[in-house]
Amino acid sequence: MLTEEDRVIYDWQLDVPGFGEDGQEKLRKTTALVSRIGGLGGPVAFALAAAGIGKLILVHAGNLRKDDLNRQILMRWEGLGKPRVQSAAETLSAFNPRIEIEVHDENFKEENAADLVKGADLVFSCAPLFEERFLINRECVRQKKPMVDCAMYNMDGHVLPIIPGETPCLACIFPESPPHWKRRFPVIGAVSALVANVGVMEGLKLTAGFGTSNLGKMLLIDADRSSINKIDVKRRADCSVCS
Amino acid sequence: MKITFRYTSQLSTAAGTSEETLEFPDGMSLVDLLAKVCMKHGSEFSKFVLNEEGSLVRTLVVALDGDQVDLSKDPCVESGSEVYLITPMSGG
Repeated sequence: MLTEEDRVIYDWQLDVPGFGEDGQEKLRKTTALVSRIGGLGGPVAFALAAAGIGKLILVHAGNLRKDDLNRQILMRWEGLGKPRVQSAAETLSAFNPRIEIEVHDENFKEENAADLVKGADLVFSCAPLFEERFLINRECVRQKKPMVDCAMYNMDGHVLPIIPGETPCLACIFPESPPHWKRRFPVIGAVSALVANVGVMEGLKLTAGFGTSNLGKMLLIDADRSSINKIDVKRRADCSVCS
Repeated sequence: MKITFRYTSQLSTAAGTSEETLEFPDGMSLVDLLAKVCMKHGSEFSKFVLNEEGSLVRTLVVALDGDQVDLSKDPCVESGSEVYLITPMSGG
């Protein structure tokens, strides 16, 4: 049940067609995991907090650096040199003290993947390393957890909503790590936030059951030409993860 | 025939554009078109499309008129079509 305070805070979104109090209650009961919480994951977590998600699980190892600050909007200057998840939790709690926040000052790895995904209803994959992204995908497929894969490079981004067993998983689309990927890539914070928010909308639509489904599609964001295109994507019959 | 190519991320950087419309003889297959585009843009582009053995890179996603294509089927392409080439992106 929504509280009176919920009805005040979320008043403007309760009027979104198809969303309403039912959708808001579904969000209230949902735990979303976001890994990591940098340029993509930070705005993902922020938008989920604004929408009234029940609980956030934030996963990201390491301390804040100055070159994170052009895009990692959950961070703050006084957090330099300290764990990113600490700044993130403080920012989110100050913004919306009604959501529950669980932090992990670690990245996804084989040893923690199962437990991390187990605690979530919905997972947002925003990690930089392909090994990490494939691990998140594999664990979400194994535990049949819905997932939204968000990615970016320069002025481009993609969002791929995944329902294990129904849509292509990440390994269906990219069956192996790319041969020419560089860890450091060009990005402006506004682009990562744009991609992140497109990803959040897919997650909200899946969770609250409203709006137009983009299951089976990959959304391609072009911030240079200001366009979002969609392509139909297919499950791979010999996918090493979900077939 | 005129074909519009859209490129993402590293392909877009290598091509110097995210979109271009090119003219080709009628009846070319998709794989042949990819080879032509690789020749046009050189090695910094083609390495995301073809590996050292000349085979298609497994992490390249190709869509023809909005539909992901199985390149082993190598469809013919019609004038006015759109070919989307997508390379993997990540987070951070």
